[in-house]
Amino acid sequence: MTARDTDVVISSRARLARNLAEFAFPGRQDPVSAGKVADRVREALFAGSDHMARAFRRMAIADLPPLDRSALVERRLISRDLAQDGPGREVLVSRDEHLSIMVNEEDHVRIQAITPGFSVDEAFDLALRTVRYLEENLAFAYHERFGYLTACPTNVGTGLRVSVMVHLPGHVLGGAIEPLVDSLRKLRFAVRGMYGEHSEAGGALYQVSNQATLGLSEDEIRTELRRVAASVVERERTLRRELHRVQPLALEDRVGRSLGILRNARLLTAEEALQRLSDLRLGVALGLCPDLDAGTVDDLVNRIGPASLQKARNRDLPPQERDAVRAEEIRTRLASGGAAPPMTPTAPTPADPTPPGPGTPPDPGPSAP
Amino acid sequence: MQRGGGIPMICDQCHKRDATIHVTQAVNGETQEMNLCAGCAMRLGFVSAGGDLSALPFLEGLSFPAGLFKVSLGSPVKGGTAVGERCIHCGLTFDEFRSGGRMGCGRCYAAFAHRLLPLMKRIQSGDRHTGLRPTGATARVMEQDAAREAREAREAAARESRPEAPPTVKSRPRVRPGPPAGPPQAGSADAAPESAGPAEPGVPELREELRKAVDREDYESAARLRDRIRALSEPADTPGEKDREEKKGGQAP
Repeated sequence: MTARDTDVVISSRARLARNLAEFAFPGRQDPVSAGKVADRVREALFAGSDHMARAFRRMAIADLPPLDRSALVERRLISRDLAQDGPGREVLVSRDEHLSIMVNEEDHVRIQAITPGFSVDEAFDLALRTVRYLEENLAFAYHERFGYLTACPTNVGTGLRVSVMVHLPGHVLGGAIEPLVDSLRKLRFAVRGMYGEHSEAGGALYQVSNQATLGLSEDEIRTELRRVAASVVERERTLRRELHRVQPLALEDRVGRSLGILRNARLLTAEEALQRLSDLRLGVALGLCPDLDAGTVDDLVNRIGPASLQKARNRDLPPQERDAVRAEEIRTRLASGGAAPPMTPTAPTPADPTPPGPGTPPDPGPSAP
Repeated sequence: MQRGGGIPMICDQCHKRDATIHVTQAVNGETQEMNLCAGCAMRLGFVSAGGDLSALPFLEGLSFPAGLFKVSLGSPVKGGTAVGERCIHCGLTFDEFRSGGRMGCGRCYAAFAHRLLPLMKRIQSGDRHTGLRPTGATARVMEQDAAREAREAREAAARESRPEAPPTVKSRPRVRPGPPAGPPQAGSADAAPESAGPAEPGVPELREELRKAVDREDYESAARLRDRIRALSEPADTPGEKDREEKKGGQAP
């Protein structure tokens, strides 16, 4: 349908977990060892290569104020766990932010690569190249039978977790989320909310990932994930089309209202904004919002988290001010002449929606079709 | 965590060589501990080959005494040692793992291997890694460990068989001395003694075969091989050694 299936898949992610053979795992190591682990990882990444030093930005978690930590979590560059205080914790982030290396989280090293759209192989290749680069100089804990050893046995073996972030409003509106979660669980795949474990699904955003890391090769794991994700994508498209076919007015009304609110509201909570943007994204995919694209919507989703908003303004904002700033950010981005989107002929709107103005073209974003 | 962990001790059996292997076993509810050198550990059947101790728990059900835990030589991840149910490298107990859900260090996996396998079968797609093999520093360390362990085992076997050749029993073939402790060779399977006689394989070859059998989970062959090794290398009477009743008949050669 679209390149990289961006109508449904927002991004792909691959994560590899590794531990240094020489040290106890982070949960059981003393602060001195934690510091040594961080030194080793840094040396392995930067040694003898100015290029790598230029390509990565290093941040020690202890040096980061809470706001910066939260902003990194919102951008999925670090986990909520790493954002907590702990010895030797740091993150190395590539300049393009596709790659991050978390140090001394649950495992000594967690490498994650995030690439736009349905691009699991690309993300995996990036993560694997990085881990191989590190492995040149770091001896990882490995066991002939159990493979790469991790603090939690749920990650042992390949240490590989691959996932796709998918937008599933068709499933949500059609009441098909629970059955999906159940059926994928049986195949040892997990479906979780947007920010990974323990988070709720906001804006119909879900993460589908493999559960098993042992007993399957890396190729098998990502092939399976691709297969499962592709079927979720197809099912989501079918559900969306079906919704639109059965209740065109209700669906277009929903999209139109959300667009109207996003373009005009003066106060928006994060929760409402996410929900409205989800409607908008659905409208884009169904061709109901020709002057918008999915990339613009995704970019907005990334900008409107509480921490990201405050970070952009470089100060703490009380909640109501945050809502005002959020609404303003969205209004500005969506201000393309203020027109309501032209609806399909089935919509009995009085003629003359103002034609889409010549306003600012949408930012193509990384996942523009 | 430091490797090996601790002050060198003398082997409880031969009282000559350094003990590199710690064995704990439960006998009638009491914990007995032994510190053994590689040679005695192999002679007594506690170690399969080259100190490949991760293999041990799989052999346990065949004839080793219940409650036997493993044993370790050198490598930070290849072997793990548990005293009682505590990993001696990081101190984690199996109960702590059960309540916290996290391993303490890489060696915990080998130390608790027999407890982990059923868990892996439940939570994973299998209990054996089939993914990418290590590269770079990980591979180099593993090769060094394997070479060192093979060398230690050869040396131990050589020391073992030379002074006290035991031709006492029936027509038992003599134990062939291991190959000279030459430079370590990477592929330990190739390190067979050069003087391979026409007839039967010697102890080192059998140990290698045993290791492979355990690797492919062919426990029947493993048991046969272990018995052959024992027959070849045990002195006629092993004083004070516990009787190991064979649970399954018909596996002896």
